[in-house]
This record gives sequence, C-alpha cells and structure tokens, in this order.
Amino acid sequence: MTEPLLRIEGVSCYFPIGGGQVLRAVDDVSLDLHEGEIVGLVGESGSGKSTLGKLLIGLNHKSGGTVRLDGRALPRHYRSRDFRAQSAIMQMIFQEVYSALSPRMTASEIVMEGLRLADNGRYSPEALQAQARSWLERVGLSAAHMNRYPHEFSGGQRQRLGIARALALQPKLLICDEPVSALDVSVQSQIVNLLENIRREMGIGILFIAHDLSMVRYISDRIAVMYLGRLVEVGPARQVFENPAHPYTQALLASNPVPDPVLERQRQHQPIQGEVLAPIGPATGCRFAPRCPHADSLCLGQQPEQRPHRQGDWLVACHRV
Amino acid sequence: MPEDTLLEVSGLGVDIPTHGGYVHAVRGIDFTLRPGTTMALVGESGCGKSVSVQAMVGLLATPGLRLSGSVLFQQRDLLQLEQGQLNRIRGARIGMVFQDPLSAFNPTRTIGSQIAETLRIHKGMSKADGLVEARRLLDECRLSEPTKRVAQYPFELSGGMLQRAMIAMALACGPELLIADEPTTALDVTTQDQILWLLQQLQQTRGMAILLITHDLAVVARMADEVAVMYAGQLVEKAGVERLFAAPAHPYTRALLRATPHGEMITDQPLETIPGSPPDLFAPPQGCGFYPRCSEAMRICRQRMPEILPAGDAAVSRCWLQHPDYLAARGAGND
Repeated sequence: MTEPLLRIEGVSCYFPIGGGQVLRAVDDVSLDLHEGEIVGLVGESGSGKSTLGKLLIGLNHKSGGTVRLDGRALPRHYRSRDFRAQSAIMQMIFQEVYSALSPRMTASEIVMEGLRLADNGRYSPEALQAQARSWLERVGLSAAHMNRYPHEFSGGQRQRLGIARALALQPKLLICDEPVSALDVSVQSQIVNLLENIRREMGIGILFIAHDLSMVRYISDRIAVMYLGRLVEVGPARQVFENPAHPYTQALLASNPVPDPVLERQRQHQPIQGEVLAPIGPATGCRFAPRCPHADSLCLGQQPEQRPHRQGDWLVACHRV
Repeated sequence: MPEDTLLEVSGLGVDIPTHGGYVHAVRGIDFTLRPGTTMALVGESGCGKSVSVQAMVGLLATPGLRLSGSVLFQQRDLLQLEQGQLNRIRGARIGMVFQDPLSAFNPTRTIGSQIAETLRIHKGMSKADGLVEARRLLDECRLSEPTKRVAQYPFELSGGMLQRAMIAMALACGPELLIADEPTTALDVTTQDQILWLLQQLQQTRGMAILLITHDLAVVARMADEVAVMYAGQLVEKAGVERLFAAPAHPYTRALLRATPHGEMITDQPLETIPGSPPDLFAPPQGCGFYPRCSEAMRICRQRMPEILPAGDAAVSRCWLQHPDYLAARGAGND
C-alpha cells in the first residue's frame, strides 16, 4: 500500500500553563489523509482541532510524535527554510481571513507573493501577473479585482482570495481552519462548492477543520472527532454520521439541530450534561468519562485505545464499543 | 388590538444616519406575537433583523435616527413612550438576551449583585433578598453551583454558563416577552443544545413569549412556532414553522433553505448558492430587493415593489409570484 499524503503518528502538543502544570491540547493523535481526500476534523472549542492544524503547518511546535507529508518527515521546530519548503506542499486557509491578508497588498500581489518567493525570480513580472489572474479567476474572482485591497472585498470574496493565495503554489494538502464559520449561509455554500471543485480538479487533499457538523457531513469523505486533545472516533463520514459509535460522537450529533421542524418536534433527548473541562495533566481515564452517560470504573481508571469498529478504517477509542 | 396579541409591530421603519447619508436599514415590517409563543426573525447579516428589534425597545440612540410605524406591547406604543416609562418596561416586562453575554455584564461586579440590582430597580427588593432570589434564578436556569456563582465575576464563567446567567437576569422580573438576539451563535453545539433546551423548558413553565433573532435555520426549526424571514430591511415571508420549511413561498426563502446542508442531502450534488449580494440600503431599489438574485424574476419585479400577499395557510409572501393575476394566468397557461 502506498504511503498516504499525510501521516500523523502519536502527535502531541503540550503547553505549560504555570504552576508546573501542562495543558495537553493535542495528546497522542494519529490520523492519515490520502491524496484527493477530504477529512473533516470536528470538535468543540478547546478540543485541540485548531492546535493540530497549526501544528501541521508549523505555527505550533509538536511535543512528540511524527508527521510525514508526501513521504518526508516534518521537522519538530520549523525554521524559515522549512516554512519555504513546506509551503509548496501544504497551505492553510483561515477563519479570520481578513487578519491573514496584508492590508497593504493588492489581491494580485497577495496571490503572487508565494510564487515570487518560491521561484527566486524565475518568473517574469508579466508571467506572475498572468498566474495571479488565472488563480483569481479560478476561485471566482475576476481580473477587475486584481488591483483591489482586502478591505474592498466582501467576506466571501476575501475567503476566495485566501484560497487563491493558497492554491497558487499548487500544494498537495490544504488545511482549512473553520473556512466558512464567519460567512452567511448563502456564501458558505459557494465556498464549500469551490473547495469541492478544487479537490476534484486538482486532486488536493483537504483537512477541513470545523464545528458545523452539517457542513462537515456534506463535504467530508472521512471524519475525525476530537475531544479534549484526543481523537475519539475516525471513520467514513456517512457511516459515522448514521451510526456514531463513540458516546461523545453520539452526543455531538444528537445536539446538532437540523433544518426540519417535523424532525425537531420528534426530538426526545436530554442535552448532554456538564461542561468541557481543560485537559490538564495526564488523563487517568477516558477524557469524556465525567460527562459520559455510560461511564463505569474502567472508563475512569484506564485510557481507552483506538480499536477497529466494524470495518478496518473505522476506529473508536471507547471501552464499551 | 385583539386580546391574544402581546406584541404588534406595524410598519416599523428605521433610518440610521451615517457619514454617507441615511441607511434605510428597516423598511416597514409588520408582525404580531401571541403570548407564550415563539417567533423567529431570520435572515443573513445586514438584513435588519437585529436593528429592528433594537429599535423596538429603544436601544438605538444615534442622534438623527428616524423611526416610523408603531410597536404595541400590552396596548402601549413603545416608540411613543418617555425614557422613564420605557425603562420600567425593559428589564421587567421585556427581558433581553444577547449573543455576547460577556459584554452584556458589567465586568467589575459580581453576577449576583447585577441580578439583584435588576430586582431592586424593578421590584424594590432589598439587596439581601435580591441575592437570595438571584441564587434561585441561577438554579432555575440550571447553572451548576448557583451559590458559588452569585459571588463570581463574569470573567470567571464559561460562555455557556454566562449565557445561563444572562437568561436568569432577563427572567428576574418575570417578563411576558423574552427577546433573544442570536443567543447561541457564539456557543458550541452541545452548549447550544443545552441553552435551547433551557429556553424551551422556561417557556413551558413561565408561559412567556420569545422573539428569537437568528441566522440559523436549524435553530429556527427547533424553536419557532412562527417564522418571519427578512431580506434587505423587509419581511419577505411570514408563516408557521412547518409550512415555511415544507412549502416556502418566497424565492429567497427557498434559496436559503436549499443552501443549508441537510442530513439527508445527496453529497454528490453541489450545494445551491445564491449569486450576487443584497442591495445597497443607502438607495434601496424601487422594486423587489431580491430581484437581481432571483431565479424567477419577472419584469415587474424590478419596477414595482411587490405587496405582501397571502400565500395560503395564513402565510404571507412579499412576492409578485403570489399575485392573484399571476396565479390565474399561470393556472390558465397550464390548462
């Protein structure tokens, strides 16, 4: 079997929080992502999903584990040349795209910058301009937008600009951190359709980090569910959404309202109790046990390992499954 | 005003002065809310949903602001009341909950003292009695360890806990109407679930009406009895919740529903999008505001503003497609 595009193995990211305590934001996470595949990474605030995304791109340092991208191990601490080397393979788009775009650069300068740096002057200015134009057009902007500044764009257009900048280097992996959360419904669907097209036409792998379960279900081939730094369930999106195995996944899906008043009237569930705690210090048992309706002494005393569920590519970390 | 109407909004218009002239943010909206029921005001950013509600309760204070129409609450027009009279209604008969609870609380005072202050002002309760009542209210809103929370400051609570505290404060004086402006938008889905469930429980036990402002159609489906859809400062459709989702009458409502991912959706199909953007409300179009983006637009839509027309099942739609002459002509064409 060929090696996947991205292989995350036992990766952790700890932050000291004073008093000798350590916040385990990402704790022993393993996940593969194949070429042309969209993996949805879902979880609530504080689950560590964004920390994991930033760690991959080098904005956070790993505390342990290995990440292999396109057959090469990524460094533990990125140096500037590492950023330069990785940027041709891996790009990221952000939720707060406005703060990720330089307010002093025009749209075409923003799109060209990566190409200019990557090619050390091999492209002529005219060729760069042509490239910028074609990428802007590829994401649904036009030549008329080339000389505009970020503040002259709407939220949806800015996200398109962020995507054009990411695509210009023709990466193999795109990390999208809540790319549509700040947008209106009608604009969200435009951006999601664009990402889906890009995946199909360019064969890019996408790690789609989001908390909107409906959108993740719609776009993802596989889904990974994170709770307090650990992956509790990974599997094919459709199967996981239809038959979630982990009690946390079940609670998460049950809490998601659906745009159908008839189904909502039939809803007979009690919301999951309690609050998300912070993953401070090593876990003595399952991180979800304090809120889990099925937890017993085993769950509180021993951390569950990921085990295959039903089929090989469906993994669940729960003693009771 | 009929007996079973708590709130009747007629022809509410809001023009907000800016450096570039007046923004016609709300352009004549009408709706009524019955006691004990929930009406959802839904729309995308900039459609005027929050501005209309803020205008109704006198929270817009821009100099030069132009308000028109009337907002009858328990037979009194809120737009005509003096500040002092309005203050006796807000916080007492009308409770309010906002998207960002952290900015709605005073950061330098404890949760308990802020709830007690509401009770002192509106009910003349002593501080000691107010703190006891605050603890009871926090408990009613199912905030864990209410005795401890009374003495805590807003920054010590998580977003979900603060939202419960804000609901407790809004309910302190037993309001007949709770206005909730995007109450769960900043919350995680499991916390949202807890808060929506709490609001439903409180509505059942207390019998209050809820005016819910949201952009999330799934939250509408969960909470609302009736729905009013806003676009470009106008109500474009108003219907019972089941009717709205089963048979949306206005092309904007239909487009919005198709753009919302749904559980049973076939994932190979691209999501529907709504091309274009809403009109400039500095100079609103003379015809339908949705005309340039509408897939079913006709010539008249650009020239003349559609009236609010009945669309069956007590639903109304501001769309020429509902005009009797159009329906008759289409019916004849089909024969």
